[in-house]
Amino acid sequence: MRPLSRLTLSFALAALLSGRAGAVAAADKAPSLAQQSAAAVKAVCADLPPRCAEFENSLEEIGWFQEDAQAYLKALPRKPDLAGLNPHLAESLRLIQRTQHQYQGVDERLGVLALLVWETHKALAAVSEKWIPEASTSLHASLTALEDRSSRLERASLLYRGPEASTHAASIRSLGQDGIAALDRFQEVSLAIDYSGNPMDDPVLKKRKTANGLAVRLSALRDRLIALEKRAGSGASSRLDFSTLLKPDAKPGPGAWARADATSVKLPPLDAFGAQAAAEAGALMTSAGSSQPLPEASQGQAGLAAADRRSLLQVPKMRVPAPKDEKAGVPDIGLLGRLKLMWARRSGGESELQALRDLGLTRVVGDPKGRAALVHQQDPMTCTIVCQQQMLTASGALEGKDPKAVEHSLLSEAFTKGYLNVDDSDPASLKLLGTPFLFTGNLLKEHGMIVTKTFKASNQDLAQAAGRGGMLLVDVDPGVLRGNKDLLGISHSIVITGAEISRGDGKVLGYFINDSDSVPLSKGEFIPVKQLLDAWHAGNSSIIEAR
Amino acid sequence: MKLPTAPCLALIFLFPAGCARREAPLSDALKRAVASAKFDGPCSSLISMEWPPSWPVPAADGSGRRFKIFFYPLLGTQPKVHAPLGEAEVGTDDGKVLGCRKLQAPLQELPGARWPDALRGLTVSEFDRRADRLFAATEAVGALYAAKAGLTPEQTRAAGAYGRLFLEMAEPSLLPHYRRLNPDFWRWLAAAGAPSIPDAP
Repeated sequence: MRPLSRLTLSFALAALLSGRAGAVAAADKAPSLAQQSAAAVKAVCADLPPRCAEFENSLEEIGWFQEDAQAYLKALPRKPDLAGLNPHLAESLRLIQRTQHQYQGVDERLGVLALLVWETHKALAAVSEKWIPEASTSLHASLTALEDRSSRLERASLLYRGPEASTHAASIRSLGQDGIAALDRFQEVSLAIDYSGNPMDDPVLKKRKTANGLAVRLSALRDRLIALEKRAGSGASSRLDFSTLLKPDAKPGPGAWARADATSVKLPPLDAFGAQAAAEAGALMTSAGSSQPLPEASQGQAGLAAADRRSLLQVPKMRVPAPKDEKAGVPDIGLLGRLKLMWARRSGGESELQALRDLGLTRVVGDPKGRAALVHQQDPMTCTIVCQQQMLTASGALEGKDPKAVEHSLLSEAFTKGYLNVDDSDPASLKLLGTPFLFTGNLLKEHGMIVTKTFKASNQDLAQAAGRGGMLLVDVDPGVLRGNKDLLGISHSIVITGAEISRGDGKVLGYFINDSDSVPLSKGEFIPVKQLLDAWHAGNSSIIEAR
Repeated sequence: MKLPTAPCLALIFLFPAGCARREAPLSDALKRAVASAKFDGPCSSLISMEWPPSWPVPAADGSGRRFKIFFYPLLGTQPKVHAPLGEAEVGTDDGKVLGCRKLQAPLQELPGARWPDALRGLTVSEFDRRADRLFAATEAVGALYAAKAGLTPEQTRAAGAYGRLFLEMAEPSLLPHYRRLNPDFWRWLAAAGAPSIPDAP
């Protein structure tokens, strides 16, 4: 079997590896593979002296990686430590990719270098396989405890208005800090899933589904905390503030979920993407939210309000969702209306939609009008970046007067983190060549948003996600979406900003989208449901949501 | 001509479309495998989503169920074809990617339109129907190629039909890259008397 097939087949089978047997095997085999690698580099160097330094560098980098990873595996902690494991996994993937270029593009003898990295990657992946479920279970338990504490605080917040309020505010802050720790652990689990194998394989899909469930709970908990803070009179927190507090360059604030240990984003040399524009963007990406200290709750009212001693049983429950009854509120359209609708249904398609609209039988979820302002015309191959930019801007995590400059800044960030394919044959003028699927949505995560990824999603999944009212990053085939066969086969990221739903039966009639690559620019464009679903299923039917 | 059946005669005035003669459904295993390749396995971290896949070409492994594809960038508002930057092998057994790699090549624009002139007037759905036929024909010819046996006249006709359809649908500027995917297959096709991609001069 050729090295490529060995490598990629093994990659696909990584999920099947288990336990420490892999680690031991890797440790046993590593020396011989290391010797073979050194010999292979020597031999190739003899034949290709001008490129020798490149191969020697690879060998040296692999040596460092092996040393670090083996030391880590040797002193493996008993409890899941995805934060420690993930960087090793990421490095192994980077090196596999790098060595792959060399043995496939230059000389097959260098394949042994990839095998050398692969052996260690397998051992690391086996540990990750074991730890992801453990970490998920532990996070699940932590969230349950946090939710419980949150419920108690919610009830208490209705009771205490006096001096107890400051104790109450301190409890909220403490809960917030624990929430941040839970968020960090969630991000580690999410990252480990990204590194753990084929994203389309059932075991990985299952893990992702579990993680998505945790993300939903985590974001609900965050919303409850923000509401609690508001009620406690801090006045500082809101969704917008939350996002900006999580910004890497934001000053750590004492509000709920502020991240104190955030590091700043380092931008790479910017010649490739427009130095000036990116410099402007860097200046624009300042904290948009309040970083003022959170005032002690109800300090101003201390002593004025006595403690409310109503029975806990009488305290109204918070966040009880309103019953969803699509029939409720449906206007009576009368006989004439019904006839009009019947006639339109016979004609089908747009006539029916128009009739439903005329009769007031549709409603819009999301905010297609408000979100239309978030989109701008993208540069070539930056659709995924611009989609994430829109979602980050909407959440308040990014602020910029010049969207183009912000786009370039995000592009630089994505480039630095290895999320992009770039033609670097001329280092003076890098050309962007798009984003691999696995890295879509990573910028959202980097900027502190809670991201869920659903692959192989159904029509119902999409309708439900749109129904939640947030912005959705989806990939579509623009050839199918626009009826242009010159574009068939491309996967293009767009943002779903809302949906139009029939009041009668709750069916989705169409989706509103922002498409940064369309000319003229598509801002809150309505796409009939079938057209969008066809274009969406022509790709891989994925949904990326950020909370 | 096939006569409508009795129930159709009875219902023909109510649902005329329901009685139209339907073609046998084509296998879509290969189509699905190719469409999902860039999201699958190692391709998911190597191949840009923006790069469309090529048509599949039977691989040389002898199974008849493995096919090779490449990925190429399309750039510009009037999309220009560029030389391939990624390659993968997919299997029709489980629709999985069996191997994937990024090609080390500088970005190179290729001349001409993406599709042959003969396809210019087709709508997307007409194009899709032809694509479905090509995928099915590729699976069939892949099995013939793997069998390495002499072809019956019917199989020779099938190979000829595949060759014609492929040349009708393939991106003209990418033909040398299709040949490079598996030169042995194209030589075999030519030897079977079917239209094929000639060797580079």
